[in-house]
Amino acid sequence: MRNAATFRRSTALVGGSLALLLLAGCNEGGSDFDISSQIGPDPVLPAPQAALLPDLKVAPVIGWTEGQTPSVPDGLTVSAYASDLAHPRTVHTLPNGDVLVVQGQGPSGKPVERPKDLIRGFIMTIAQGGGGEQRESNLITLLQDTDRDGVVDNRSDLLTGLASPFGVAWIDDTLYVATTEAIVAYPYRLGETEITAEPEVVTPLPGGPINHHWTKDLALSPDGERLYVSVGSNSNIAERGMEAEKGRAAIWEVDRATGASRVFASGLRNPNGLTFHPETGTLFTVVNERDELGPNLVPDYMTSVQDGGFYGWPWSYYGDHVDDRVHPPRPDMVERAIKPDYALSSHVAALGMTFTMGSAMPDAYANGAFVGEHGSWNRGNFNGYKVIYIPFENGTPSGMAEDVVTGFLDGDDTRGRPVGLAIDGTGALLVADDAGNTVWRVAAADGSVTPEPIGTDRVGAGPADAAAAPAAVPATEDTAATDAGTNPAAADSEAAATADQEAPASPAAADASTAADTATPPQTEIAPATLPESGTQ
Amino acid sequence: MEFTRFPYTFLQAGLVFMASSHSLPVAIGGPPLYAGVVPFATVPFILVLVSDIVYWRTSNLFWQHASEWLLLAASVMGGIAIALFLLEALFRRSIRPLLPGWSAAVLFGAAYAVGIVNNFVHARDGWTGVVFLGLGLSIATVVLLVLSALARRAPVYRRELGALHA
Repeated sequence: MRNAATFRRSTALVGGSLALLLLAGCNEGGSDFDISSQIGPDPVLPAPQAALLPDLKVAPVIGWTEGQTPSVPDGLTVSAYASDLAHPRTVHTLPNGDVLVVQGQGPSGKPVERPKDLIRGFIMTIAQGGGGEQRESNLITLLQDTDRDGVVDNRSDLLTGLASPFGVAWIDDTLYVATTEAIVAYPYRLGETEITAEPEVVTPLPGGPINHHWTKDLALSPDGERLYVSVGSNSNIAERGMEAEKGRAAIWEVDRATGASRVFASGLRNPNGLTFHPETGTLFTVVNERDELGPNLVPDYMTSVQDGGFYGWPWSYYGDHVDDRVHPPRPDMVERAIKPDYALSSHVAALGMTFTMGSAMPDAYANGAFVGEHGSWNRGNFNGYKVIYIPFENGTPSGMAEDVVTGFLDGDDTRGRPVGLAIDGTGALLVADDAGNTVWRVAAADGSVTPEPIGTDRVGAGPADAAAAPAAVPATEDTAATDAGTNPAAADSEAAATADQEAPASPAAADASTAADTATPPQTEIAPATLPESGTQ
Repeated sequence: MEFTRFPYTFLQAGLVFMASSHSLPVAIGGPPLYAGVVPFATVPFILVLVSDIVYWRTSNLFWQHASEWLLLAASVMGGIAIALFLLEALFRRSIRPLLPGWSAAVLFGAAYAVGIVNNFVHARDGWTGVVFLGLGLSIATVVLLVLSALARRAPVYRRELGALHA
């Protein structure tokens, strides 16, 4: 039987290569990898790994029992500022010291395009805290501490039934809310405990039906004229196609008088925690980087954001580290990619940050930023699930990050997961804990309080024009080549005055300078398709 | 009872199976049921290769997703075919002479195993889920399926020599 012999041989061959393949699929999980080597300006980036099954460890949410709190180091105390919330994601302090708690849950009805989408949805519900009765989310709650003793005296739900809100900003008796599909504006005077007016749409944002990274964070420019809104990518690495990524993985700049918008910076996979540095007026963000390249790739990061800056997604990470899963490759975009400022280590899922300057925190935390790390799922060992402090010097991060609020994890379960951060009206740190349905207040143990409340959006702080003018210059090397007349910074100053113009000069001019960077711009830099028919006021 | 190399349709096989299942493990008549299911795994495995090649040449995401769903379908039907085969090999003594030789069975099992692995490779995000590891595994699956089909010819050949009546 010559045939049988041949079959036997080929069977052995196939079996052997199959075993090899399975071996190649198994990896060590990098348990001996030094995570601290990925914290700081120059993270160690190991070679990408492609496991047969992506590393996966999801912490089921067990919640907090009465009296239980996260842990803080000596010199700090922690207490529950508000509990029984419904998935709190963002905390925002108004100029009078009142605190807004934005509670939101992602939109449902994402289309199932691949078998993987079914499995992924199931895994994510575990990490959201699926057990038990859930209050209806998607609302904004006002917390008032009128006697400034660190305890909430009055609580009222300002807005309910919103479309997955995340970011908020307040100025000129107007409350801006970034829902997952638009920036909307409500007339709201400080101190009021209800909003009855109908909202006006300032500008639509890229929303469903996919809406993968749905959180739209919001920050107000130090001069109070413009809004900055983060729009996360619609996928991990553009595997849903570039058509789905138009205007995404970007931070938009929105003129709040007209709603006119443009892409301010792009290539930022999932930016959140938009915050202006109180002294330099530079915009900072924390960004969640890509998955499925192994447990120690790619580190999430905190970075300053340059006008017109491109940060790599999807074609590369950390500057010129090409992601070969993205096809076709774009060497021209990889060349443009800016390396971010400060790595936070892989899969920590940083979603919120706040600067500490002017707060009542102890000296050890006087000049830097707190960052909230929601916690990992795409690695065998948990990473994140804590709030860290990053010291700053001369407006840039300098030195090693240290843990501040920990104790969210309990073995393989988690009690809560930190998201958004803010300094409250007394100068203490607030931590929104979405899975734990709580806002935690972390204060100096000696009871220090700031003399006056400082709002989250520090309008007037820092050099007023720092955000717009100087940032515009280093980002676009080719700006000079376009010509002086279309300088975006120059055009910007006129934008507010031209509220009735259909297409204000500022965005148009700025887009021209961005396009000049490359003959074929990335689809993520495409400006919004629609402008509102009229201004908000 | 006459042995036919043309597999019964899934429906016919299913009816026979339902009618006869209460009498297991007593030997009953009829063709091997698993054989009716095998094409429902084989055909999608072959279509996966086709859609992989189209995706490689066009970068159109539709074909990547088509491959993923076809792989899922092939994996489910292949699993049913293998389970039926094992049950019949164990409990239907009368049809044992009609079962393929071990080489055909092992080759089909190997094709199925590669196909299962290919599900996970195709589930990876982006281009490299298909080009070239996924595409390579699709080729390997089809090659093994062809070898398995060739191996299945052996019993027929042997029967003509009278081996079946031994």
